[in-house]
Amino acid sequence: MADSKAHSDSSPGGIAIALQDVQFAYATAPVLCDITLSFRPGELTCVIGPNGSGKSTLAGLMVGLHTPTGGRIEVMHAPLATMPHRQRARWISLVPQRSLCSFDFTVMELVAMGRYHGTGATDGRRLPAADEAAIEEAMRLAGVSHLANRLITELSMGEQQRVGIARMLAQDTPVVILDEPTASLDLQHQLELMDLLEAIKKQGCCLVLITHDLNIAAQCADNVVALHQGRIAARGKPAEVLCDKVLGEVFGVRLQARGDTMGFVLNRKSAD
Amino acid sequence: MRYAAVLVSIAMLLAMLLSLCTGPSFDHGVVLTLGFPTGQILHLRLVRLAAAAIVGASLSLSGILLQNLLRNPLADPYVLGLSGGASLAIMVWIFLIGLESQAVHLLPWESDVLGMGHTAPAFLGAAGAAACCFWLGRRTRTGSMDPVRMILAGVIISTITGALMILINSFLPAYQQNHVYFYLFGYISEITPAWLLLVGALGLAGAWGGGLFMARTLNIASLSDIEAASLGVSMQKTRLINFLLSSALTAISVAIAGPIGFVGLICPHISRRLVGPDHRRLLVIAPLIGATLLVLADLLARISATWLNHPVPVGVITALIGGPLFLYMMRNTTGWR
Repeated sequence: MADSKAHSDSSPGGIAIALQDVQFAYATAPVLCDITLSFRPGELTCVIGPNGSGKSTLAGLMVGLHTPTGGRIEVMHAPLATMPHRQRARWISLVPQRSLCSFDFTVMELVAMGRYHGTGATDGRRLPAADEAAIEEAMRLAGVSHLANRLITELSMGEQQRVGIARMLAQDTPVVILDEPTASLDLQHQLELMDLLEAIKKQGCCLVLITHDLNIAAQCADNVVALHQGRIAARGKPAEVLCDKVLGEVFGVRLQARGDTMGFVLNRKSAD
Repeated sequence: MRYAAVLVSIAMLLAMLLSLCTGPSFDHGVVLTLGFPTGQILHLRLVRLAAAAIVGASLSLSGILLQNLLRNPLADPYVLGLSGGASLAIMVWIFLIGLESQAVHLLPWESDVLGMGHTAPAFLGAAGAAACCFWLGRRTRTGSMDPVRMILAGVIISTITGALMILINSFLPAYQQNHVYFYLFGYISEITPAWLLLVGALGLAGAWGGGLFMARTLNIASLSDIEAASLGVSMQKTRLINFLLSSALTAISVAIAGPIGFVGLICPHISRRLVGPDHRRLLVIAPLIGATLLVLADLLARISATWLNHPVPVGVITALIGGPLFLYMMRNTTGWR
């Protein structure tokens, strides 16, 4: 994107987003405990873990939906808790697992929502030309330009997912969180998305990818974090985390890494 | 959008003119006449017209805000029990004032105390019902909103407030019961006091302006909580403002005309069909459509009353026309525009 070059320069100390001893609980049920993590610009970190391990809650904490019950989160060395909402949206964007929209917005209208953070209280007015250009470019990159005037409720899950990606691109933030972005995509669009992520990573963007797809984690991630029952079970380079022992502990199944490429084969036998 | 706004405005003005020019004449028995009225008749019809327009616009706006708040196109102040809460609060108010002063209050605004009339209790009632609805409609574990649970809570609140109103009504003197009965169905009166219309018009203008100012925020608030948060919208603040505005609008409409169903449900749907779901356009069109529909419904109520020689509550007309219309739209719509 146009000003993504500035992303890598805008993070003194080389940490885009840092979590320090973060705790979170719904009412009395703890969901995340003692989460200390940092994500750097120009790196893709995959967060893996079984269902209910706290991955999506972690995303909710990082975009400011939830407030940690303990610890602190900093974005570009500024505390997230006291940051105004629009400013937060200029730093961090999110591609949700599934976009929930009860009303028939067009694709263009939804992608344009990505520019909300920059337009101040200009409700009711036309967007500035720079915003219009960013929206056009985002739709082109995500391959949804031809769907611009279609209603979101008429699109397939995969197309809706690409609209979410276009909105993230329009938002143009130095930190991007993607929650299962490949879940509804066909193989071709999965590969295109990974190429796109690689390109924005090279421009200095910090990417956090929540995924169940261990092959993507193995092939694309610079770092992998494995969550288990709300705690960090392992973190490090893909080769360190995506090993039989860690995956057996975290997922309760045995996985075999294929020797030639970094791919995984699910072994039906349960871990002991 | 411009065409739609112009067409709807013309339709509203025509409906208003028709409403002004149509009404019973008492010169040669009660017959329906068409012609521009003068003197006292013009004054009475203007009052009724203003009341219908303010109530229609308020209900429509309130419906849009509640549907946005719940992310559910089936929400409206009547379904969610806000109208019921406001009406019950007014009933309790009339009852208590009546007990204290032993006065005869045929219509709610006759119990004007503290110079605030019954709009303050109506607001408290609507806000109380909305708060109950939101509290009951939250998921116990995560605290997030469950729209289906909220609508069910609203239906139950409506039923309970309806039962309590009938109970209170049974304690009122017989001559008053008939008037309250009309009020419970939604009745627009030509003797609505000017101060109440002024309060209503100012409240409506404020809420309308507020809604338009936060139109883009409301668009984003239609998405899921996590998407809204990531796009820079504080859902807590947006919900609170939305909650206060929709409660105030419901209070205005109930204070003037009692609980009227279907206007808050139908008008947002018609508006979405005309201009789509973007609140920047929707909030311009919907109050105009609400005003048009209620002015026409009130005109029908007056015509029916002339034929039947008996007053007909406008709420009966909106339910009889709005209900089937809503079912028709529901069957013929793929998505909720």
